[in-house]
Amino acid sequence: MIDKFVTHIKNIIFFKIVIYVLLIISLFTLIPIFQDSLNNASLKREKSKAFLQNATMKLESIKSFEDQISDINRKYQQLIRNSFQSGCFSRTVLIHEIESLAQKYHLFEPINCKIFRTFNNENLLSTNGNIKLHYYELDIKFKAPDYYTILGICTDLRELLPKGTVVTSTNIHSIDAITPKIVKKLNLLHKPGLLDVKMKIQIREMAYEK
Amino acid sequence: MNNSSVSKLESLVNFCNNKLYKRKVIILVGKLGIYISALKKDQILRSIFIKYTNRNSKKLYQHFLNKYKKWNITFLIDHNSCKLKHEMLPIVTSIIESSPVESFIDENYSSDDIVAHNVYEITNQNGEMWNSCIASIPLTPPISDLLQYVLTNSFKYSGSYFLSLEFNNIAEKLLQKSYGTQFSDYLQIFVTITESSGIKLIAKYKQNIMNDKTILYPSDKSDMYVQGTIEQAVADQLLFYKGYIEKLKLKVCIISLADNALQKLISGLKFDDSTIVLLESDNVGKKRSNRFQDNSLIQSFNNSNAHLALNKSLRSLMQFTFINNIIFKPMIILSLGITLTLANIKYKTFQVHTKTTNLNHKYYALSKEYRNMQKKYPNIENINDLIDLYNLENIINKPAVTPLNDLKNLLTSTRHPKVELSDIKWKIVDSQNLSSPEKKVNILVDYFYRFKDLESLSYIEITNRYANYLKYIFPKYEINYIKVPRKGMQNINKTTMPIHIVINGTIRDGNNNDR
Repeated sequence: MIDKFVTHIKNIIFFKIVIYVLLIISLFTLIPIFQDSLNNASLKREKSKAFLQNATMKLESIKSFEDQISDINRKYQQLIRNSFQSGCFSRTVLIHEIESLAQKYHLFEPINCKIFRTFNNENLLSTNGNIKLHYYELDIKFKAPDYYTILGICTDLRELLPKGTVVTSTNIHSIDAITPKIVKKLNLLHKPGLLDVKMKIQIREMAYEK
Repeated sequence: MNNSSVSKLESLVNFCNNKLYKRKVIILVGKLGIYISALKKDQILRSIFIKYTNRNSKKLYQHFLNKYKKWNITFLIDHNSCKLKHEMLPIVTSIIESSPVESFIDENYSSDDIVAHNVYEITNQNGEMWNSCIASIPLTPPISDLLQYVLTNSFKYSGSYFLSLEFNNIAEKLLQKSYGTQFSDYLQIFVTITESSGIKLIAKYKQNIMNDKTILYPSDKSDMYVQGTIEQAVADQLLFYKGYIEKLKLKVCIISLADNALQKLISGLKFDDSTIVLLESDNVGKKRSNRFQDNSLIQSFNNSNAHLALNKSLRSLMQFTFINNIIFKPMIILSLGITLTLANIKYKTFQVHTKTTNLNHKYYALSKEYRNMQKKYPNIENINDLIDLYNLENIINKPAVTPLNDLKNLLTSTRHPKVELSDIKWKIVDSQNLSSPEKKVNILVDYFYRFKDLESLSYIEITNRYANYLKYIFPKYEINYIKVPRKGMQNINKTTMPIHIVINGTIRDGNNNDR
């Protein structure tokens, strides 16, 4: 009688082990599946959130300029027309105007001015439509005799730079010694510039790109 | 007792019975009937006595047991067919791998016999000798019937014990309450009356149960008659062990566990030099007759189980029951833990889905509104471009951000004539995020304090004053200044002390004058 019961309990233990092992394995297998499902759901939610934000922004934008929609449309048409013209002209004019400040302030050396376009910067503002932002970096280097000249040039630069421009850095370094190069150029008309100024400026320009 | 005489299974079962299980049913299988008690935390809740002669005995115990389905069931055997033997087992080898008593039992008892043993003394005169007491019973009714019922009805069977072997612990426990260890070196003759067996006389010396005798209880006779019966039985025992007592010069005590009326009569008895010890019965005031001491014995046996009785099948049964009870608990906990984790993940997924659906609904509503807007202005080719144009224009159509104001503040500020600026580095810190209307600015100012007289420490005061002045002209900026190094750089006729000032602040687009 007890032997039968022992056999019975042995069978129960065997089946219980099989069932529990299978159960635990299946539960463990389900964890990554459920986790993936949660991750996918989270991704979908993020996408939906982004879509909603975009749609909200668009709708709010439309509502905010609904009264000036004809004006914006006119600007848009103008931008399309301008996109076929070369933008270099305006930038060349800007460089000339900046360089001319050397004469205005009687600088010892001319202002060194370079402009170049920057591409593929992920952090820069971009759009999905045809209206794009073009980014240019303007490097200005000059030597000034005193701080008042620097302030004067900075004041004029603020007037010259187009809207949306940001000066990202300005370094003013006081030169302690006169170099042979400066000695060579010494003249009676201009004081040598002992303050070395370097500026980096970012220019943002709207353009139409099909 | 030697530890090697107790198997691991026995220790484990005893540990569980004595320490873990709190709800128990103890079945005392006596010579006249079975006495069943249900105990919860050492307290007897209910008891029943069923005579073997009762026609409905099976129904009665089944009915009682069915009320305690989830409780642990222990058998305490004191049946007629029980045999108590004393064996002296010599040990041949000094290294004992298995208990010699177990080997002896395997060789001399049938595999069906339920056997328990107690090694009460190990002597080392003329070689090691194990003095043991072995109790056995064949697997026959009523034990087999009771076991069958318990096992086939999924009760929790938690072992069988022999009353004769357990008497060591029972007597010790009962004596401990009133007398401590006062009589532990005495030859004890224990007398009590049980409903399940009758008058029980147990002679023991230390751990050795020398004799277990049962006399029929004359229930139809007076207390004086019962007293006389007990007196006669005790005198017989004393006469039987007279030589042993004299040889070992033992002191003798007669321990009586009975009701008050009988205790009074027994207290008047005299057995030469023997001491009479009267134990208090716990049954006073209980519903059942307090003459019988079954409950006292069961209560004393509870939580002090010592010698597990097994046969081959019961050993396997106990082992597998243990495996069944122990292995699966962690598995259940693990499964529950994983299930809860899965449920948590699923719930979170459901929550995310619900939020996504809500967002989508909002998006569809906005899209509908957006399409209506497009319909309102059919002549506009690309409304998306107009939106981009409007937004971008709002972002960039602001006056240029320049360091002019900060430089003005720094360069036109009044400084001590000995303080000379050497470097100014003005920088927008987060230059990657220029679309933000607020821009963080970092200004590093290096200047020198030149002095001719080395003894002067006034530069500290002057730099402090200059730093405070900068705080005044940049009220919304955070200013830190570092004086490096402690000793200045020395030229031919002057000492230069470089000082470094860090100014951090924020400027807003199109408002360069905001300070």
